[in-house]
Amino acid sequence: MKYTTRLYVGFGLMILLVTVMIALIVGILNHQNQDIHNLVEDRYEKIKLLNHIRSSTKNIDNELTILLQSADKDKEEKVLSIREAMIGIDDDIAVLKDIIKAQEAKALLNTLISQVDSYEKTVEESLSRVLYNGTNAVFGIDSMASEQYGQIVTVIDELISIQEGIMEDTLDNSKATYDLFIKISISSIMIALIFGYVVSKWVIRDIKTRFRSIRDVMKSIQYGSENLPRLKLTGKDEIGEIALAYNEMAQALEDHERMEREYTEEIEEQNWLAKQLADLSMLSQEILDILKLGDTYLQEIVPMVDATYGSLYIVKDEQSLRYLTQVSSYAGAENIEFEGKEKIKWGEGLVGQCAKDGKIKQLFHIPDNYISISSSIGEAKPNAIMIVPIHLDGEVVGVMELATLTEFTPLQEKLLMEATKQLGITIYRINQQMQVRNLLEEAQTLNEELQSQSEELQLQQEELRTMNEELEAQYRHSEQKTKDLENTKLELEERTKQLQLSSKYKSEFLANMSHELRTPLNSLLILAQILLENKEENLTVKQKEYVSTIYAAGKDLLNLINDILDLTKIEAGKLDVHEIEMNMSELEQSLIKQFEPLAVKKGIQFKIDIEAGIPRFLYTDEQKVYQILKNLLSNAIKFTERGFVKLEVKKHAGSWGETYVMFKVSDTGIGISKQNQQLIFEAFQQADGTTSRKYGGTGLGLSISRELAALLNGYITVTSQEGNGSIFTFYLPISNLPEKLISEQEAAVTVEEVYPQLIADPTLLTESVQDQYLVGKKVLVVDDDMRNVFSLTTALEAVGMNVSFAENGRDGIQYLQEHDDVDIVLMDIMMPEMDGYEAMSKIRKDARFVDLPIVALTAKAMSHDRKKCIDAGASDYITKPVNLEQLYSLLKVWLYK
Amino acid sequence: MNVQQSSKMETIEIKLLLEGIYQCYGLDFRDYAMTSIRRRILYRMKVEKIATVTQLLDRVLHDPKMMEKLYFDFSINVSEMFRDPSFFLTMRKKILPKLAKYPLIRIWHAGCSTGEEVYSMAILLKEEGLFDKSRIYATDINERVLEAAKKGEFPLKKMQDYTNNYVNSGGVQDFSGYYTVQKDFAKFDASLSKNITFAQHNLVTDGSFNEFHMIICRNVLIYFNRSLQERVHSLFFHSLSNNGFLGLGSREGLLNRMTNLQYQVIDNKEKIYQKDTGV
Repeated sequence: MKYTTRLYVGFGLMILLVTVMIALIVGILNHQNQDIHNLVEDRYEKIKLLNHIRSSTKNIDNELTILLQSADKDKEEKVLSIREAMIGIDDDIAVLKDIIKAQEAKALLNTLISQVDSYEKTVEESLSRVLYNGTNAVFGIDSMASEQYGQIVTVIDELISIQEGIMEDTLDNSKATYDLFIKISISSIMIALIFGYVVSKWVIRDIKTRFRSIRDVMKSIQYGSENLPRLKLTGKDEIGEIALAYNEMAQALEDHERMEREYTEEIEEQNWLAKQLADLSMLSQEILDILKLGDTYLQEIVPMVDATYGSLYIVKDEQSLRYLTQVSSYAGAENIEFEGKEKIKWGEGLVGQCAKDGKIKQLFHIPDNYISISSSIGEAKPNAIMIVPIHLDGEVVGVMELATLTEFTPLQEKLLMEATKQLGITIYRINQQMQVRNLLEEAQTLNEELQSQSEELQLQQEELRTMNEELEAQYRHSEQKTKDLENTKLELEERTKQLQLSSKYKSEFLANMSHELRTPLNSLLILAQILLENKEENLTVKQKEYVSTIYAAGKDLLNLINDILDLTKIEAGKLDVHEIEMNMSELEQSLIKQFEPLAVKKGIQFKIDIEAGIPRFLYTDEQKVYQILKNLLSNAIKFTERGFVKLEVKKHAGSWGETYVMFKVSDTGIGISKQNQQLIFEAFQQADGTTSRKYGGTGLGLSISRELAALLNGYITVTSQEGNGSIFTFYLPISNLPEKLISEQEAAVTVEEVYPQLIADPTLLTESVQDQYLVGKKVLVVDDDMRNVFSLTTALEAVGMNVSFAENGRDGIQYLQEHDDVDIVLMDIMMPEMDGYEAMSKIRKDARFVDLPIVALTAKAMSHDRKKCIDAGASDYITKPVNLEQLYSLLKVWLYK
Repeated sequence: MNVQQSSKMETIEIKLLLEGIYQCYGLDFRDYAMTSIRRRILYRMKVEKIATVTQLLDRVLHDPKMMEKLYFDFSINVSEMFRDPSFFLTMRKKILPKLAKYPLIRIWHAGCSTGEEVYSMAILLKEEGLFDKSRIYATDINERVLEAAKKGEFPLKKMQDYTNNYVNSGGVQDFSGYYTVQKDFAKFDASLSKNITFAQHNLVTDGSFNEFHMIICRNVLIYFNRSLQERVHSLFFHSLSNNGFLGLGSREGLLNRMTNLQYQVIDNKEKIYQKDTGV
């Protein structure tokens, strides 16, 4: 039985006993309580009721006596109280009837009831007589009533004593019950105590015994032991389970102990192994020679494995033959017969085989004639032999043979395996070191050789250095020469500058000349033309002829001046090429327009023939092409009296594949002789000096044309026979631009400079819009040249301006001072008396004219004078000859307010 | 609200306006100099009788026409011909002779506005005999001003000043020879615009489009803040050929670290620099 069960049963029984006892005690106490209750409730009530009846009866009796003696007026009241008392008695009796149960008492009660009944009847009789018959009538009855009253009191007292007897009985009963209860209680507690003691004793003793046996076993445990005592298994209770668990623990402890021992042993082995290996490797560290290595190694390793004989072979390769050679032996030198062989072929014998297959070999039961181990006192046969290969990177580099008198333990075998691995590396290292040593020696030899070569090179270098110094000297010399050249160059540049300066002076001179020449010439021409118009019709035919001669001669002179100016410009490189789109048909039209009338006048034919393949637009400097053609055609017409002048335009392929447009001007004129063909392109030359008078002209046209052609990258050729006409051909290279890039759009028209344009073009005048900024404004023209004054006045009046004029600066200033309505001044610069600069400075000094616009009229070629004009006070300037459109624009700008 | 607070509030509003324009129209004025952009915004508000910048933002977001007006205000269109004549004089005397050696001269006018300076440059090139081998690329952010620039018409009333500028810039020809007056405009000769290419280009967002021998960007950078200036300067530097020239406005200049490192100063007063990579 388990301890749990036992304890449950033992203590359960005790609890049961105590419970029964308590129930018993509670029952008895209840009973007691009931008895006392009955005693109080029942008996006491009855006694109380009985006492009440007695007192009521006594009251009635007293009242009745009083009534009989009292006056009439109180009677009725007294009667009433008597009657009330009687009713109270009746009620009490009714209650008593219910609660009295004892037989004896019941009989007595019935007696009491009948007595009370008769008493009440008597009293009632007395009362009615008193009321109706007067006091006297009661006589006799009242004595009867008193008698009855005495009986009632007796019965009641009897009843009370009965009831008191019952009460005493009850008290006796309850006392007996109480005593019984005390007895039962004491005895049951005793029983429970005894029972509890027995159970406890039994359980404790059992537990104590069994724990003690467990403690004894546990005490006997020796720690570290692999055999631990076990507990006997008794019963399946809790202690049994403890024993079982203890046994399992002991088993586990034993296992653990065993494993620990094995592990420690293993570690020790490893340590031994590692120590030996370390010793061996320490040993071989310093050794550089293979033979010494063998000796040292064997001396160490043979005792280590308890061997008595040892021999070491290493592998050698000689002329593709592999063999093993002994490098050292241990304890084997005496017996030459059994001594290991010095040289063993590959695969020969066990040693050779071991080297070949690389496997460890062990021999037992060694035959008699095998090697014997000898000492000074005797010889012995070895018991076991071990042949171990020495590996390096999977290849056998040597073999070690060992013999022992006992046996090789596995540990020793393991040591040998590890040691041979180490040995392999050591052998390799020593081999390598030996090789390095050899190489070092070789290198030292080479180094010495190099040393001597280096010395040689140093000598050569010295030589080179000397040569270099020589070269440097030469270089310095040439530098000096360069400097000299530089100086010469500077000198030359200085000269060039001087030349340029003189060239500049020349061009300035020419420009001045052109102004000086052209201004009067222009006036001359225009005036001649005005005369020719003969508006007043007062000139004779002869006079008109003179005038036209004046005009023609003047025109020639102007052309000559222009040509000289052009040529100067070309030669000075001042002409730029402005390439634009040139419309071929427009070119044709304008040439026809210009030369057709001339040809008709001379009675010769004029034709222009343009080949179909010619592009409609050429990208070139239209103005220059036009000028060249004009020159060629006017020459041709000039020198042709009869026949025709023809212009052909064709494509022409150059010798290097470039394309030209060929303008061929042919005529049937006088022609040019062979020797003159070279001359005509020179400036101021004509084919025949004598003809120059006949044909007129400057002789500059062809020179200009040739230069212009060259500017356009083209050229002009001539073929001619004297008397049979000439052919001038102008070759113009075609730009590489594809034709479609050239738009159909009209090429921007460059207005050809037309001399002279000082006079207002009538067409221009009619087209001019009367501008708000110009109309009614007053302009003062200051110019000494009447022709200019005239032309400017015409042009300015045409747009509605009022024009005044002054001949020179002084007059101009005077005019301004006299008239304050001048809006703008046009001021020529080159004037007699007072020139434009001075005039403008003076005008500006007058506060009234600080803001007066003054426009200076300057010569075309004198650009540097313009700054001077502005400095002198001009608001703006315009170059002569004046372009009218430009003049109008300029006036609008300065008249804007 | 005191003055400081209200100006702070205005700055916030302006930033919101510029951000709104950027998000709505993709036009980026956020890096423009605050003071100048503020003046322009206040001008537009005054003209349109708008009380606050936020109200202007409302209008701009819902009315593209208002954006167009503001855009025109924003792109700075103040220019004149031969502005700072000494700059053009230096160009004529010092720079153009150096450019003459190139077979083709490429010039970029960045922020050309209505083209006054572009035509000035064309005249300069023409007078120095370089015009035919020059190509001028004139760019601006604003298409409208480019349209005007293409026409080459400038108000008559300004021509007197322009004439003075021309003379002071070392002009050697009749200035009146380059234009014809039509009504209230002076129309410049079509031959001047022959080698000019006008194109829309945004310095804030667009990159380089060629390599130039000279870049002229005058009075544009002053309207940008520092980071934008750095961006534009980098753009110019990478668009210049080796030894190319950079011409800036009189109140502009290189950023500190750029001097000596990237450019050589040719004329400190006229703000002309030469790219010098030290190669």
